[in-house]
Amino acid sequence: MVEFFQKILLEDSIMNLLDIKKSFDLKFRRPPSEVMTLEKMGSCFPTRLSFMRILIRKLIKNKSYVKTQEWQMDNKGFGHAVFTINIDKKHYSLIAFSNYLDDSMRTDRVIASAWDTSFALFDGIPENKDIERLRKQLPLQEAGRFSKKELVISRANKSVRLFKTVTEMLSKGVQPSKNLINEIGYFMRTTAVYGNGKFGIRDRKEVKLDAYMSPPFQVEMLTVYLIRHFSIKLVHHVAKNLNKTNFVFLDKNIQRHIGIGNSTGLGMAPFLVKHPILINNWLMVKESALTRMLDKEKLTDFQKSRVLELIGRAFYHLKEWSTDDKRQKNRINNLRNEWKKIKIEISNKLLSKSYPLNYLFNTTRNYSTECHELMVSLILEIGGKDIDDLEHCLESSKDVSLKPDMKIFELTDFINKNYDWALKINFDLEEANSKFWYVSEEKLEPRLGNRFSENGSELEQPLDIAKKVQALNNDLKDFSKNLCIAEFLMRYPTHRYIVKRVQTNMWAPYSEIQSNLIGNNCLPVDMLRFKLSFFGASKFDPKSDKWTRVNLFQGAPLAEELPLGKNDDWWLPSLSIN
Amino acid sequence: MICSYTELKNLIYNSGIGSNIDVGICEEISEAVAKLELYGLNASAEIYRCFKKLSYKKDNIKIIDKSIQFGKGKVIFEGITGLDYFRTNLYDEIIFEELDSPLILIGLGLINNVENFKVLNSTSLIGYVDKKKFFWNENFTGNNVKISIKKEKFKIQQFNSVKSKIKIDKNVWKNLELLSRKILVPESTLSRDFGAGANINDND
Repeated sequence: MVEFFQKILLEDSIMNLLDIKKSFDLKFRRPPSEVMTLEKMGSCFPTRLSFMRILIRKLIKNKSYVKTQEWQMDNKGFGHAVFTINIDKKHYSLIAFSNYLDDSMRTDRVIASAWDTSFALFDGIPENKDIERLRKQLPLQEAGRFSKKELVISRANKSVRLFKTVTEMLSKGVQPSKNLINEIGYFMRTTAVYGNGKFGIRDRKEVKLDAYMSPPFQVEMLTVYLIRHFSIKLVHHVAKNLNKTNFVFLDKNIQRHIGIGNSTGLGMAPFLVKHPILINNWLMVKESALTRMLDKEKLTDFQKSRVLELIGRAFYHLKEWSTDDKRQKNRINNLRNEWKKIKIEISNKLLSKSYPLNYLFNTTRNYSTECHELMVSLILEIGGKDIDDLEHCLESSKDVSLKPDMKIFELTDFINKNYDWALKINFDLEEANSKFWYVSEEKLEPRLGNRFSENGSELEQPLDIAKKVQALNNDLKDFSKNLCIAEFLMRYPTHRYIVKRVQTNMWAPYSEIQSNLIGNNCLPVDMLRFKLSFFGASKFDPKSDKWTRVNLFQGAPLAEELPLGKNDDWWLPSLSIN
Repeated sequence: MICSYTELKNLIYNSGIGSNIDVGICEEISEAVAKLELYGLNASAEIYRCFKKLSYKKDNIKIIDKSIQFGKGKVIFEGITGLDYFRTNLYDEIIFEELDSPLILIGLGLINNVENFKVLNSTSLIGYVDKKKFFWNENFTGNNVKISIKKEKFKIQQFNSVKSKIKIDKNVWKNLELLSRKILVPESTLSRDFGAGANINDND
């Protein structure tokens, strides 16, 4: 396996962006067969290379300052606001509209048609005509038309209970309890964050020309960060207007613990399949960072104390993580017990031995998958500058493409060697085919159906990768081994998609999810957690196998703390130890 | 209407699938069309015409020495195959008795970064691609004519240049949208209640 990875041809962009031709270590500890299964993906935690962390480091480094350009809200918090943030010499503005929403209209589904708030991230500082244009278009969301000046559009609903309770308490001069804050953790929940050219906004290809926005999802994360700032300011505004005399600001520690909720549904799952090179790069970065850390023979005293500190912090974070989902609840309980043992076992003395991180890595292999992944995330956290340069390699500028001159035997040999996970699935069984992915005509909502009890499977989206690989393999068997792919595809044009994917996997080993995505055992929520962990989300709270709620930016520095150069030490935050 | 690159690419992709074209082909066609539109060439209207007249004939091909000859072909099928062959360097010349869209063939060459990709009609140059640069002869108007592809270096005075925005005819957009809607599954209570996440009411 090691030899295979050493032969990997890295994407040009990765090589160009960073001078890593000699230092990029391809001897990964974990092969794709280990990390690309749904079970493993569904156990991931945020790391310091998650997109939110990258953004916040950038904002701190630039001493970015959030300025309130406009705040035109009535006493109930309805109106509009504009905030501008600078990154280096550039300015970005969040334009926010807040309006009354009847409770009966409040749903997090894509099929919603109205929201408490709507937002746009604007390139520069908007003029009045931009605000007026967006006042008409933004509340329409998917039905609106936008311009290249907009980089992201989004909307959010209030967590009605927390918003109401906290505003009332602050108006009476009372701080909310930590338990109440931990129970929900946000005043608002985004239900969609659209980027990359959607509805006429600027394309990702153009956005990433700005070096600061080159890592994935930076403008989307900036939008969410500014929405968090808006939500806290809105709570203060409403509370103050309830009672100007007794009003108090929310305690700073609690403010920092307020994140932005996010409801994530099935849309994220097809994204992972449609962007194989991007996903590969994310994993290459994570595994490279891990390898760098595991190769450390000795830790400094500072690093040793950091490991112990973070083990303790994670312990409290796990205590504050709650969900009603039965599967996740059991996993959290198990994880808490396992982490307790780790907390007792790991000492400064043990960390003074040779290759201590490798020891932590190997020890937790004997625990649950989630426990092992938590330790991986912790190991990366102490990496700091040793691994942060890898953030430049997360992006992908390359599309999947065909190599028409490849010989048939090269493709078949590779399939037999690296797609055994797909070839061994028995698609004659109903359980291996039971699901199909589709897009509903109702607001184009991505959905998952049962092939044997629902209509529409003839309109299935191409997420049945394993099945397609089997069909390709069968047709390849009857074809002369020394002919080339161009000749094969002339006879079998319908295999073009899967041939390109397999060829991509030859140099992008982490490009395939190695599970049957149409099988009965497929839990989409595992794919969602994987992607959300790369965003930097925590407190995964599955509501079914098809959607989850998470918290974004919980523990992140507040906007006014950015120019002070405060560090970005907010991995798995806990209110209990502040 | 003015649209983004990604928006157009997704529309072409979905309208291709809606026209029962394989997803692997749609990936390339959508990229090629969006890229051509970025250069101000009216490829969306052209691909719509192609989608409306589809037929694939197997064995529509003759090989004579180092030349490969297709009969009357469609860019979506024979055009893509011809380009694949060009990229293998197995043949010196690739001939189409007729091709429904030489423009989109140029777009496909462009997205595949082909070198010295020369498309001719009799003796006149229709288009030329060299890696990320291309030239399209705007005087050429005759689709469904005999064309040939050769790998020959050619000195172009001025390559096509990118425009500041993509502007698509409203009717073309509407027609493509109609095709793209064919991939959508009709609404049902079962689908609405169990097909996706989140609740219908989220007051908490």
